[in-house]
Amino acid sequence: MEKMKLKMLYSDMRSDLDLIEKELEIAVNSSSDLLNEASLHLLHAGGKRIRPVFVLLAAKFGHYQIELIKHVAVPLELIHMASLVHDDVIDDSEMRRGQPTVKAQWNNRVAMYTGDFIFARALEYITNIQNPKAHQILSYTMVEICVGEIIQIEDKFKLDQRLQDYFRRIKRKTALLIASSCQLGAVVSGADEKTANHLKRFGYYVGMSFQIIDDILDITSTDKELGKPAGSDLIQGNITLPILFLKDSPEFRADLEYALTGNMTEDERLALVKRIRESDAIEKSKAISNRYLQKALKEIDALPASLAKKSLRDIALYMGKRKF
Amino acid sequence: MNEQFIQQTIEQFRSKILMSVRHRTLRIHAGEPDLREDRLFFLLLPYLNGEHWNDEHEQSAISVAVIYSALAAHDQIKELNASSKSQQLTVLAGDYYSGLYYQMLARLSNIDLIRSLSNGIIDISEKKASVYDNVKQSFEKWMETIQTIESLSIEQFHEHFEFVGYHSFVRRGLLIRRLENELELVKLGKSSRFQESLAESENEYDFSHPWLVLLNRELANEKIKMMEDISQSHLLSHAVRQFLVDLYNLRLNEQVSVMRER
Repeated sequence: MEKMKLKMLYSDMRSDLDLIEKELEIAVNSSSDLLNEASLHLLHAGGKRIRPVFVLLAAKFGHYQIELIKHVAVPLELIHMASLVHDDVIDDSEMRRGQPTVKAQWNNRVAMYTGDFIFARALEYITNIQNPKAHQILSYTMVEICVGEIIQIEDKFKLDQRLQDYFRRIKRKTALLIASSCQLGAVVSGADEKTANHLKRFGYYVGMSFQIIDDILDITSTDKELGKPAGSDLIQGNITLPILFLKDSPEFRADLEYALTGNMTEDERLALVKRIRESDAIEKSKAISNRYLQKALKEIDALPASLAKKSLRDIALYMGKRKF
Repeated sequence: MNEQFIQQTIEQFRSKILMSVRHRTLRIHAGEPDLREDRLFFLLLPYLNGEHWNDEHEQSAISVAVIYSALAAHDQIKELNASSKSQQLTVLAGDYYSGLYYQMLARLSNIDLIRSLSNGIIDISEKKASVYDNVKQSFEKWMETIQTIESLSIEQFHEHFEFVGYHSFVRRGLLIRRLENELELVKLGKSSRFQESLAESENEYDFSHPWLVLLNRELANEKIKMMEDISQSHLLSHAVRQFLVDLYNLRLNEQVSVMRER
């Protein structure tokens, strides 16, 4: 149902997104049967393709040419895919989007080479863009994403974090790549600097809102909807916004500390998840996500009226309200 | 330029690379990046041999060394159960170094080199994956496979800056080191995926001798050819020649004894 809604939002770009999808298939084509299979396995598992969508929509504020802008949209999705393959090794994840992960289906080393392969394909692809600024933006983003992931591991299992730590982490983990998708779409299509900056900030705020919602859904969704146990973030030691709102509460503190020991039974996990769902932490987190969403919408208010502007607004609103 | 200068230059180069990639958490949990002396030597070979060398050459050479560190980090990930903090951060070290190499070349606006090197990483990843893909091929093909894995990125760097005259030394030198490492594993009673793949190919491709014999022979042959290349080369300076001979423990008497064995 949710995917249907998203498809409807993308309907104006259907033909261009179909082209991107075909290009993604071509891009992951490898002379190695194994890498081919592993990459296609990942590609066919689906995904929202929000990064290519933002690239295309942002490009509409400049001189839009799909044959040019595809060289940005495709690599951004590939970089996201490559990071997922490696993240599954880091998180020791067996399932993603209801499918076995590459590391589960083959092994960690194959996942490493698959990620390296996809990442290199992304760079090969984006070198069709000759504008050095585009490469500087993307490479900076990639380094920052890694720094964010390193910090995430350092912060794991540390219950006493500040909200500021969380926001810095999700900025690097999610918001930067969406911000760069928007900025790159604008820069490569020749949009003016002011417009590119509005779009970059729009992407940043949407990304922040998106990640907070993602962290909320990890608690509020069912195991089936998630394709993994609800509350996985906490079990894996990732302290997300709802948990930060509860960490000082006497009713929750001991249970949260216990959850981080990794000794929780299934029943205990379900009971704790249920209590968190019923607490005010979810509403407080939603309010913050919504605040970021409003900031995002304010950024695009400054842009000239167009179908692309309406689409950006609709997608941002959808992402802020999504239930899965 | 003498051997001592070469050694110092390599050490200074290593320090510059370490400065470019330093990250406290990674250093503590994933260790220092893999910066093997022979690779650094081959990257610097044109400079050490007196070729024109500017800041762009040096920055690009650093980025290629960082690629090797990135790929080497991912080679350290265990096939199963890589969930320790050290392994998690080694995965990220590889990704971080990959991002840095791209950032370094993006700052130089050298898009052609980014393209060439990423093309090479595609090839290297495919070749590395082949040992997990039940690939069976001739012994010669396996030698080409490891040669690509070991030397392609340095060759591409040399090619980009028109230093192609050094290719044969790079290819041979890095192949020798890989063969030595594989044989060292055998001595220690250990194995590798590469050796397993050789063993699996042995019957199907009807190798002329058992793979271990072929591996030993290949090492001896490559050392002889390296010695010949060095002694016949008009390109290499005396100091560079001597450094290469020392780096690979090449001895004229070794050449003679191996030839007698054959």
